[in-house]
Amino acid sequence: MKLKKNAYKFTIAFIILGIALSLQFRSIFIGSKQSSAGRLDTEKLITQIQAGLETEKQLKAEINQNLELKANLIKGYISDSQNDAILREWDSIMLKSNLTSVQGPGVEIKLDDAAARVNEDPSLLIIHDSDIRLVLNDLKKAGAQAISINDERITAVSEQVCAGPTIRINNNRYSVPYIIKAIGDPDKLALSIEQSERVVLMKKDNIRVDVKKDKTLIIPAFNNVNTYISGLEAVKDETR
Amino acid sequence: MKLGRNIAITLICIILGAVLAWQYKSINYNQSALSFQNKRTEDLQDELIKLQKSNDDLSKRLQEVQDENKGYESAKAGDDIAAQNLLKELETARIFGGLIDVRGKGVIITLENGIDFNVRDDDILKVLNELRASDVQAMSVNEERIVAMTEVREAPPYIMINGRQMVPPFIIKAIGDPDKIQNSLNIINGVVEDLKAYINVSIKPSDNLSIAKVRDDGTVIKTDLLAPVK
Repeated sequence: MKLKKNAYKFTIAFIILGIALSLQFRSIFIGSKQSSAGRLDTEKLITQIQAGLETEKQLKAEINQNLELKANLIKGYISDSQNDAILREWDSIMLKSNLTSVQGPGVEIKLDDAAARVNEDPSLLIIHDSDIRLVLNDLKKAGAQAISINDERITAVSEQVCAGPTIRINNNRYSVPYIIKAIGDPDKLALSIEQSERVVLMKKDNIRVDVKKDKTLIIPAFNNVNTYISGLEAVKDETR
Repeated sequence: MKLGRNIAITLICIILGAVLAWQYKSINYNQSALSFQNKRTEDLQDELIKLQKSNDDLSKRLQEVQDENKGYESAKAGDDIAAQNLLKELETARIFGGLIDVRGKGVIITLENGIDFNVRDDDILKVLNELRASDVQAMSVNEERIVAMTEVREAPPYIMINGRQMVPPFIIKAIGDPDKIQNSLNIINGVVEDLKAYINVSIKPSDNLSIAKVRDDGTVIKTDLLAPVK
C-alpha cells in the first residue's frame, strides 16, 4: 500500500519532468533551426552587398573616365573655337571650384583609431566627425589650398558625419584609417597639426596621428557636381 | 523508510527545479539571439537598399556624362548647342565654387551669445557641417560665402571667416530644402538642441534667399600652389 502511494507521487513528478524536458528540446531545436535560417539570409545579404560595392566601384571609375574625356572634349571644342579668353576662364573657374585634379606641396595626415584596450570607454578610442571637422579647420586656418580625405575632395558643401563606425564624406562612407591630404606650405600645415588643440587631445587618447610632408601630393577633382547643384538659380547680374 | 522516501522526493524536486530554470533561460537566450540576428539582417537589408539606390543614381549620372560627351564630340566650332552647354557648365562650376551670386529657398539660422557663454568657432562649424549633411547647395555667414577652404578662426572678441572679423549675431544663410534642413537641425539630440544649452539659436525658413559670391580678390581662394594634373 505504501509502495503504491509512492509510485503515484513519482509518476506525477516524472510526468512534469518529461513535459519540461520535451519543451526544452523543442525550444533548442526551433531556436537552432531559426538561427541557421537567419544566418543563411545574412550570408546572402552580405554577398549581395559585396557585389553592390563592386558595381559601385566600377561605376565610379567609369564616371571618372568619362569626366576626364569630357574635360578634354570641352577644351578641344574651345580651342577649335579659337577663343583664348574662354579657355583661360574655363581653366581658372574649374581650378577655383575644386573641379580640377591638382598637384602641389603639402602634408599627408594619417588618422587611425587607438589600438583596442579593455576596460576603457571605447568611444574615446575612435575618431569622431568632430575630430575631422576640427583638423580640417586647422588646415584651412594654416592656408591650405586644396584638401581631400581618402581621395574625396573637400568642397564648400562636403559633409563629415559619423555614421556608425564609418564617416560619411560627399555621400560616400569611409572607415579608418583616414588619409587627409592638404596642399599648402608644408611647414605651416605640419606645424598647425602639431599645435592643434584637438590633435593633442586625440594623441592623449592614443589615436594615431602621423604627419608626412610631401612635395608632390595629388588631390583629385570633385566629380559629382551635377547631383549637388540642381534647381539652384544663379543671379545673372554679375556687375555688382 | 520515511526518511529515504523524503530524500528521494526532495532530490527529484531539485532536479525538476533546475531543469525548469535551465529551460527558462534557454528559451530567453534563444529569443534574444534570434532578435539580435533579425536586427543584423534588417541592418544589412537597409544597407543593401541604400547601396542599390546609390548605384542607380551612379548609373544615371554615367549615362548623363556619356550623353554630354556625345554632344561635345560632334560639336564643331560655332555650334550653338555646344556653346550653350559650355556656358551652362561654367555656370554650374561657378555656383559650386561660390563664384557667383545665387538665389533660392532655404533657411536663415541666427546664433547669438548666451547669458554665460559666447558663440565659439566650433558652434559655427557644427552648424555648417549639419547643413552640408542635409544637402545644402550654398551657404554664407554674415554675408561671407562659404567656400571649400573657408576657415572659422576664433580671435576674441572676434570670429574670423574668410579673413574678415565678425561679432555676434552670426546669421547663417543656407540654400537647400527648408524642410529637410529644419528636420535635420531640430532632431532630438541634434545640433540645435546641443547648442541651445548655452547659446541662443533661431531658425527661420525663407522662400527667397540670396547669397552673395565670394570675395574673389585672391585673399579667400588661393591657387598659387595648385598645378592642374593632366
